Amino acid sequence: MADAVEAINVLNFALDAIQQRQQVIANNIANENTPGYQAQVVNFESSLADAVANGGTATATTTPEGLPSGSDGNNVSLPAELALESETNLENQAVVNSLNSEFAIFSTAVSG
Amino acid sequence: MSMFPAVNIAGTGLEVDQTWIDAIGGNVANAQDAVTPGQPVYRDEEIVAGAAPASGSASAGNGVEVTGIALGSAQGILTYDPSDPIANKKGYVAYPDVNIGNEMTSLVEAQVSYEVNAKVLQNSTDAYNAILQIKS
Repeated sequence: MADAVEAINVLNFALDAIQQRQQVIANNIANENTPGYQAQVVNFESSLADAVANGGTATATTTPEGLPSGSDGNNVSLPAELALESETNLENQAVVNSLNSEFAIFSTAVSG
Repeated sequence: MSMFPAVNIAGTGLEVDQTWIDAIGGNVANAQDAVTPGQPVYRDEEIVAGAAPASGSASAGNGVEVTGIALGSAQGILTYDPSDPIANKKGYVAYPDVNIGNEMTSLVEAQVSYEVNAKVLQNSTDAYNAILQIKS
């Protein structure tokens, strides 16, 4: 039972972080032609893995991507953002599926 | 911010792209509007975009917005054409400072940008829909 709660907490955190990443990607793409705009990335996987392994709280951090900029000071790479968006959508679906499985186990455990 | 922020962000991108495409349409449509030098001539309109500032500590950004419109030359481009009835005494007419090559290049960029933002809108809607399927 405690394991199921733990798994739900981890998945819940991942779902939040994935949503944050989706927003950042949408924002990067919306600013694809904005002079001086610097692309951002969301990192959470290593922090989450560390928190699961060693305890503690995981965090999702948004930082500049740091790729070289073009002549207008913009460094959004459209292909990279689109690939990351597809990947993030699949991760989102995977987390949703896992959450549903956990909830099913949980329900069975509760109702017997 | 809204409940489904990524959808809104993609929407801001579509709005800026639409404004951009409209401006290009106006520029192309008016490119040949010659006037007698000294008369007000159509001025090329270039949309200036800026990142919409993030609101709140957790926000990833609020997309993009039009921050201004840069106008082309108020004098236009003087062209020697004494046969034109509107030419001035020296035989010059003024054309708007619109470069059709630049406009067409911008149009392609704006179209691609619009398509991509529409795709993000669709994908993020799908992702939120997936989340809405969570049930115990």
